Amino acid sequence: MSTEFYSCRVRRSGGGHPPRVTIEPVRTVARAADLLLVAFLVCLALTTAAQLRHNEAAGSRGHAPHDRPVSHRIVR
Amino acid sequence: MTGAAVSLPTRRRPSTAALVRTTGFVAMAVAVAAGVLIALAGAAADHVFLVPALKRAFAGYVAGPLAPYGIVTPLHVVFAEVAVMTVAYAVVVACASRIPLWWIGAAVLVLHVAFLLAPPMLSTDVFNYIDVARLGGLYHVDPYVVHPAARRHDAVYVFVHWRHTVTDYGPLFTLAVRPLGRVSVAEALWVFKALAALAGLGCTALIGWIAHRRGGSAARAVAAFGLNPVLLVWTVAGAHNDLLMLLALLAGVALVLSDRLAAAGAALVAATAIKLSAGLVIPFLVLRRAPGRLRLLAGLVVAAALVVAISVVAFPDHALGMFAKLQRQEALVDIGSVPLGLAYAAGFARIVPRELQVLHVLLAAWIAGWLVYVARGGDALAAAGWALLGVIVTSSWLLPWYLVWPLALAAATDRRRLLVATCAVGASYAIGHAPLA
Repeated sequence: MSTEFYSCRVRRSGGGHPPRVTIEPVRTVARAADLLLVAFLVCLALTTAAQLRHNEAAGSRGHAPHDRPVSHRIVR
Repeated sequence: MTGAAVSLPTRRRPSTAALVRTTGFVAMAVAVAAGVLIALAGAAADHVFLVPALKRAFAGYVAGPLAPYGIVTPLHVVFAEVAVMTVAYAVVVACASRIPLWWIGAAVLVLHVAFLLAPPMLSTDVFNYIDVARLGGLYHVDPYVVHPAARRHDAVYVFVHWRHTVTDYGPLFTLAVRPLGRVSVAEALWVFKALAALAGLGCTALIGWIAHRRGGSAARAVAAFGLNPVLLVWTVAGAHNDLLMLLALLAGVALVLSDRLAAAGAALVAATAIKLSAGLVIPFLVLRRAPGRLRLLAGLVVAAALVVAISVVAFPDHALGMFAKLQRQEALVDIGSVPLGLAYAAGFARIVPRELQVLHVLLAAWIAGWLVYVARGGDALAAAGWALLGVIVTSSWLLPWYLVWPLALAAATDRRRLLVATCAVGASYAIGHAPLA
């Protein structure tokens, strides 16, 4: 699924032989994109861990997610 | 005596394709089972965290038709089910090219029905939609000026969370829901639930069509969007109008690919008139290197003029009220937002407006970069997906159902990195919002 870019390489041959033309994939851009993605995921993991530490420190009465019982007031 | 040659039957090793297909089927079954269990846990209606509408009052119609079959489940088990569903989803997406499309479609349908029948989960926004409908359709007041607290006696008020804020949805949505203001709260609730589920199915079908039209795998696209836990558990179950916006947006994209550009412009404006976020995709489609740009612009301009004219007539007091509301929303900070998590990681207790402005500058540069990429011949849909993800990541107000915007484009364009990044933000939100024991 990753995007690959291709380059054309021409290798000169000696002795009057025709040059060899090869088409090879250039993965530089794809590798850079993968590195950026990994860096983003690492940053996301660090922020998530920080959020979890904050939630634990805030406790159930602080600004952190917590559950509550369902209301007993019935409406129709 | 002649010896007969005896050959033992050779055991043929299953081919890789068959193994992948079997793995995909098993994972799909696990995803469906986990999703149904989550829906039944919500239907038990014994957690305010799962069904926040029940914080102030309990109503049988909120619990929904699955209530008799509800399974009382501890919250940590529900989160484990979400985690299992997520892993199974990832496996299905990886194997989807070997699974027949109609099997994936069937799984998508089953899960959409399950979350349609479940109560409104993990959000109370649908009750704000009902309130908007009742303010306009029943009380004939302008929802861009009058907030829910002005009608405290109304039957929906007890379930509304955002009581002192006016609506921030587009004029097309605010007008279109007015008829639902004249029916009961219960009827309006389940109409909104049905609309969200139908929109989710419609979006999934359009994404599959767009992927196929672009030469990609429709099966993988349908699986990547239609089986995603954020879509099902948060967005379909919560009946969010993001799906209505996305349906119009994807219809616009499909019309662009079909070279029906004037109609595409109208669909894109309709999406923006439901929720402003859709408007971010428009410049990418206009800049793409393809013929017919003028026809697309003509469709956009005519549709926009029509929407503005209708808005001025329908809401004479505050036709552009949603823009003011959106400005106020940017000042809000959600506990699961990435900027707030960055602040905590850097040792700060909170994030201040000046720091948010820095993020906005970075976001502008990010979007500009992707626009240049499209202008130079890049993939407009993938670029729009990355731009939308950038908006979500830099926003101080992160809500998980916003992730369906880039998710749809990631699935339609078969962009692995965009899909991984979008799902990672969803996982971060879910983990950061896991309630304390």
